Amino acid sequence: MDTRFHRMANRPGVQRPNGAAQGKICQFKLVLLGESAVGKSSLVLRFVKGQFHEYQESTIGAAFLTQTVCLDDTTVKFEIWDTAGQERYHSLAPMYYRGAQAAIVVYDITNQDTFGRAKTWVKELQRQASPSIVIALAGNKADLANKRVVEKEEAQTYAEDNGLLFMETSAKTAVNVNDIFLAIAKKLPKSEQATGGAGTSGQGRRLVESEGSAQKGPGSSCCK
Amino acid sequence: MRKIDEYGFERPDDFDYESYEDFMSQYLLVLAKRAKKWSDLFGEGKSLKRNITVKRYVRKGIPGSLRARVWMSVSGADVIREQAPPDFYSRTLAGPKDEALVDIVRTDLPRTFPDNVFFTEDHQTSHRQMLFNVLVAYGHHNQEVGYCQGLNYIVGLLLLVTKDEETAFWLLKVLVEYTLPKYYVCTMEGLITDIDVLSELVRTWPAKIRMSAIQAPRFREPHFKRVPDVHAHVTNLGLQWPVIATKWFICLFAEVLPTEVLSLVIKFCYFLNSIRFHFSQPYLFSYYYLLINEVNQIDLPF
Repeated sequence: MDTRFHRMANRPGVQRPNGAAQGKICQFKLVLLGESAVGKSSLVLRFVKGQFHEYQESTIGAAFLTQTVCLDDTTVKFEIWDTAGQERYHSLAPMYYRGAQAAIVVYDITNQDTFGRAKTWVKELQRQASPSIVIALAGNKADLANKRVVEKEEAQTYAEDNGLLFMETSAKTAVNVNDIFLAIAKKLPKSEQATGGAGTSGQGRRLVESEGSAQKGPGSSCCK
Repeated sequence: MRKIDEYGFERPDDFDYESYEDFMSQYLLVLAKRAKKWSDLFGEGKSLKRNITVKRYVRKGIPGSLRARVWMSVSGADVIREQAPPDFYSRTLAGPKDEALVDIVRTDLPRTFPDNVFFTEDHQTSHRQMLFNVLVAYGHHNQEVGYCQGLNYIVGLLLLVTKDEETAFWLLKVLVEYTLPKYYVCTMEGLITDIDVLSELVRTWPAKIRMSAIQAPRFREPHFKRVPDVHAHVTNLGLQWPVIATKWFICLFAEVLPTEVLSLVIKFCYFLNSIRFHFSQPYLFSYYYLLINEVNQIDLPF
């Protein structure tokens, strides 16, 4: 597990979600999109529970999980919507990215088609999702570098041209998994005005401190 | 006792073996009696008619050994099989293949019940090849559907019960084309319609219960007293119904319900030949609680 989170949790500015009234909690809706079997569910499972299964069951419809990260004096809580990758479920996708403040579009670095599909998702989000949505591109399965077909530079250039965050990740080895979520958390607006509901606004929702509703699951990587 | 149930799934860590043994020692007698009755009704060479007796028998439970034959019979799958040439399945399977379809099915093979012993690669009676065959054969037979993720779980369950790929193929055909029409096609229009129906039923259900309680004593029981307004709750969360119900309907509750109950769901599906069973009172009641459970996991401030 990334020790940075633990260090941060001990910093004086960071409070437990149900602790004394210092610091604020922001909640954001994040959606994962991408071709089937690129590792969307595995990224979420690694981030939320610190686990990895070689054969992750295929996701039907969508799955929902939450995880919090700490960022200076702010606790960022992600509501994560993990979606089905098969083209057939595409018509349901707008329900998931509607009102999302962040998206991770995932491809598999060993499969060129999945990169093409990722670009299609980015285009769709830019056209139809909230205009302020923060999009990250994740080139997953980075541990399989010997089978690589999508060059890092190519993806990097594409991401820069389109204003996306970009990282190569590995759900299997945990490389860059926490980092990509953290990078998104940093980029999200956490202003005082950010009070809209997740379903209606492009802004994060600020919670009252006594809420105590933040996930404290076994893998929760901060705020312990 | 084994840590693995008869369907090859691992029992949970907190499984209560003692109560299970107690229960089974009694229940085996019931099963034996039932098996005897069934063999009188539907033994070797006998055919099954859809009548009130059969309906009663089916409701009480079909012995595992007869389940494949009974499902084939009550669903009408055996009639469809008889109308087709005898080698229809093997010819479909041997026909030319669409590489894209084969690839996506192959990707899902190790991702179907990865914890089930019958679906691990090295198991001597591995169902993986059968799963592949049924999905590929059906995908080519019905090109409007092709392969839809979720069918892998359904065929997986059919194989766990029937242990025979051709039987699973015909049962799948009935399920996809007659029982759940337009669920698995590209537009998924049948699925969307049925989810709308569910939403409407859930919306009006609390009022119905309150009305029924005036006449029917069973609705005066405490758990009916405070039926929460799930519909309003889901609406307030900004959730759309397909977000909650797609997986249930597409996989016929695989992952949500235990296997024995699932095979009940499949049974009613075949018997009524429709998803209408979803919307009968007892099911709706279970939905309500599944829903509450699901919504509670969605940990939003409200």
